[in-house]
Amino acid sequence: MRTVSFVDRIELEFHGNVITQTMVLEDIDNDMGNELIVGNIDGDISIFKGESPNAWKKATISGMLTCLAVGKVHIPKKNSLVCMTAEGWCYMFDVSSKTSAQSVSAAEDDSDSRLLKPVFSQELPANAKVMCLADIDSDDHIEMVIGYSDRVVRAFRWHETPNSDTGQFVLLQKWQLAGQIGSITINYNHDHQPQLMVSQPGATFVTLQVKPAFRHIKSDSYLDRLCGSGSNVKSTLERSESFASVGGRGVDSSCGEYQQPSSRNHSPRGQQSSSVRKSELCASKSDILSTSTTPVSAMPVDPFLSQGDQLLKTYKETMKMMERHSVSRDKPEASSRLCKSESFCDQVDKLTTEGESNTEQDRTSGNSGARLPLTLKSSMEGLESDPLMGSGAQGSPHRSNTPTSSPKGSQESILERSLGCINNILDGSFDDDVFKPSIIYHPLALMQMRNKDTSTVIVGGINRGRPSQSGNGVEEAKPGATYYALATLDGSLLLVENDSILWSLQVDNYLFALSKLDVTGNGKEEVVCCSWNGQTYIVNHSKEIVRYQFPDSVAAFCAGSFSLRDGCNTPCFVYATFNNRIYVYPNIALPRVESTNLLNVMGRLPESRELLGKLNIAEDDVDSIRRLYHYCLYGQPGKK
Amino acid sequence: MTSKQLYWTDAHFCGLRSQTNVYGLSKITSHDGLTRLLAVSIDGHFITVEYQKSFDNRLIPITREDEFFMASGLHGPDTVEDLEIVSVDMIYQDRNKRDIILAVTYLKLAPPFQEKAPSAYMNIYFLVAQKDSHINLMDAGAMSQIQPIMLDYFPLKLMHYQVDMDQGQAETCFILSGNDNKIHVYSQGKNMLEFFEDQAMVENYFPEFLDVNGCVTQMEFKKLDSTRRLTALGVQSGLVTLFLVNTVAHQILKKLETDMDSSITSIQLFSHQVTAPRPDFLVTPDDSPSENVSSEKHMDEPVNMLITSAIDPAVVFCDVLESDLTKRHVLPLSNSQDVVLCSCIMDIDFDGENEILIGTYGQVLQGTS
Repeated sequence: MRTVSFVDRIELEFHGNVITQTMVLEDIDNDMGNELIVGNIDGDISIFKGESPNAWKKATISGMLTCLAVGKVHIPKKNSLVCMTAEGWCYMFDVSSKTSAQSVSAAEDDSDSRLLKPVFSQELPANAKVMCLADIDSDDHIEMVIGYSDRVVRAFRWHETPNSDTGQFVLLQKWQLAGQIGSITINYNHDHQPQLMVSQPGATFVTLQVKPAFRHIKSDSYLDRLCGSGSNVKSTLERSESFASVGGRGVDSSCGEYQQPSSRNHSPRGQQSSSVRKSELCASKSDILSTSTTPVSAMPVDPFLSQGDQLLKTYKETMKMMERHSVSRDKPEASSRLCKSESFCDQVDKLTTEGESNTEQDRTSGNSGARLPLTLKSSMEGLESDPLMGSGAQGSPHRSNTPTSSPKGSQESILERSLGCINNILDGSFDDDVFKPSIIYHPLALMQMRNKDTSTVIVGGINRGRPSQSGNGVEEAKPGATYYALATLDGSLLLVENDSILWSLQVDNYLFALSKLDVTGNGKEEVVCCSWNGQTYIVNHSKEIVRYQFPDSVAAFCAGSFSLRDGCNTPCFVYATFNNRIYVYPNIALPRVESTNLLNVMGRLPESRELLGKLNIAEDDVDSIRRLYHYCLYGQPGKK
Repeated sequence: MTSKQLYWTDAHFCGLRSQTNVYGLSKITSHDGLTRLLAVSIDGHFITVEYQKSFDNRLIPITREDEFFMASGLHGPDTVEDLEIVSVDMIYQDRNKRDIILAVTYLKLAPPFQEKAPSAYMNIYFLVAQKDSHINLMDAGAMSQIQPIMLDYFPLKLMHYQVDMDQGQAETCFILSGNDNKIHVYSQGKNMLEFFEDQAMVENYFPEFLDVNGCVTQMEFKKLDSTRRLTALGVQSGLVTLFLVNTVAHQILKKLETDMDSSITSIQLFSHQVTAPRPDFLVTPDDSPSENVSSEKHMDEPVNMLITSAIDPAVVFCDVLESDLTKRHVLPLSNSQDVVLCSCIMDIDFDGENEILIGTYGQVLQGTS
């Protein structure tokens, strides 16, 4: 395997524990040159610009910083820095390019000008783990997709508050997955439509479908419509919803979020006191919305934690039932969709009227519309009411009355796992266009994996080669599909196109960070993968590998473009170590990935073949060709 | 200095487990242009670097590291700690360039409590070529025959030179300098595989070796034409002696000396321009005379000598034959980066003129043209 050594590096001092999710190379101040933004889990953020070893800007947020991302979130064509903490707070920073010029030239010790203040903050669901800012539904607006450590993926959209220059994040859609989330990425299919991909353990991933009905929400009116159009079917539907593929929890929050502005009526639920407190907190901190949201992270409390076993039992029963019902397999799914969509509105109603908050509501389910005959629904009823009979029959009704505060975690996880499994089964068997499954599981080479539970990261949108060099890639229309790559902690690296594995690689290192970067400058993006012990692999599309051994243990790694001088981005690797140092390698460009020699390179050129033909040298006459090249290169002194 | 910005990237990289010395690298080029490198660290790790072709005609760099050479030594089961490799060299046994002969000099260190001086050895390995000429050096080494030679001096620079014998044949011999202020020549006996120290050859073919006063750390040879040879010997004290030797009559024609104040780390004898013969299929009848002229010109081209030493900057003496070491040029900035350890003469920018590369202990490679 070819190995290289990179020598030029910039050493940056940054204290604290850095994770890969909190180290990004992006253009934060919109000057066309990328900066390095690093945060530690204590909430300290530093922005490094150019060759300076000192931080250019600093910021501190409270809470455990888990995700950093840069994107054009709230101001069109202006990049902002979005930070998520594990506690659920979302902070947004704007770094203006105006101040950038000043502070680069002067005021080195002026700490005030270097300190950034968040322009916006909002409390969102807690336990954010990975974040991806991308336009997931081709509406030219960047969505914020967050993966949570409780196996939930939520997509948020920036929603401008009318008559105000600010706004808030509103929940677009929520997906409940079966396995832990490694990373979230965007890939482009043949029509250059974005696909949201989330890695799952064992070098697998799921694609999350964005509900078409929500692709074009532009105003509250649609929401209002939704809220107004409640349906009569209630209990069965809401139960069925929880069973359905995208189902899950936290819907109450999302719903509430959408709900509050339009309907004043606060839910008279058990934890209302806490919700009020939280919303006050939100308001005071973010000074955006006086109507600021119900507690997004306030999980509905379940009074029947002890029902876990029963739930499991019922789940098993459900599975049996599923098998019985498998004759009309698509029906349950269809009806479940239907149920979901209706139950959403239903739920809204309930929230405003009854204060029912425990329902497993999916706010994203508005795609299908109530088009299915009721027979389908009824056929589904028996099946769907079962798994949640416990919660439906006992939990919900009791809930409003006896708001105990028992934690819901374990039960929830059992519930969610079962849901996730069923979702996968349902989704796999479902191909109707109207009722498109919202989660599609891609097992890839799961059967060949050494360890089926190994954590996996995915990166998508790997450019497969265009004449010009690729930029950020999201906003410019690129024709054609892109590759995506997966790496597992036990050392598998895969390059995949449309579910077919182009190559796979097995190494003896713990691969934990995966990036894409055009190292050679030929328009094709190479897969860059880093292991904990510093071994870095650069692999091109034809599985040619270059290795680099970083001489230290790696806490976080990212590969991308970095601007050493004004606006001139060069590919670089960034390694964060465990001893308070970050190393930027700005000089990593390679002319090619594979090992080659002059004969091979020349042999590939059509012109050289032509010329050799004129000299009457056969192409396989290596000796003559070698002498010819030697003479051409060295045999003409003073030719320059 | 060239104005052109040269941009180099690593073709391949491998780290050494421990450090080596200035004699620890050897290269050999086979008849089909395949170059192999052998690097030896002081503690006995051998690292081979070579390229192999995969089944789909891709080039694969192969780096292998092993210490088996020592384990198979004659003198019992040596552990690595007991050894200190000094120098290494490789030659081809015959003109077909098939069988490789590898010579390694090393010191066997006695345990500290014995307070004995180390004993020196030279092992010569006869690597038998397989039908597949692309056999890895490591594999060949494992199957090789070994001839250990005990040395009664501490070895230093080990190199080889092809001697034109009186009978018109050429014979390649190993030349080894020692701390006994002598240079030893090891040649293969007639119809024999083994090497032996050939004092007669020193007297007959290397008259300049009898005129050494000091411990020779570097030596370099350059054949000027069929009758003349330039020999440069650098000793530990910093004295560099340049001999012009008549290779037919075996007499010293000229002897020049210069003093560098510190140990000589490398010497290079080179001409300014690169000689690359025009391939015969490019020679057309009308320009063949001029071709001959230019080849003649190459022969007469002045020879320069580069000397790098431990403390002083690198020095180039231009046209050593005519100017008698009077045209002395100090390479700018060559002492800016710690000790200059090695040097190389190469046309790195393909302009037909040689550049000087020097490698320093500060891990910086400088190029000068």
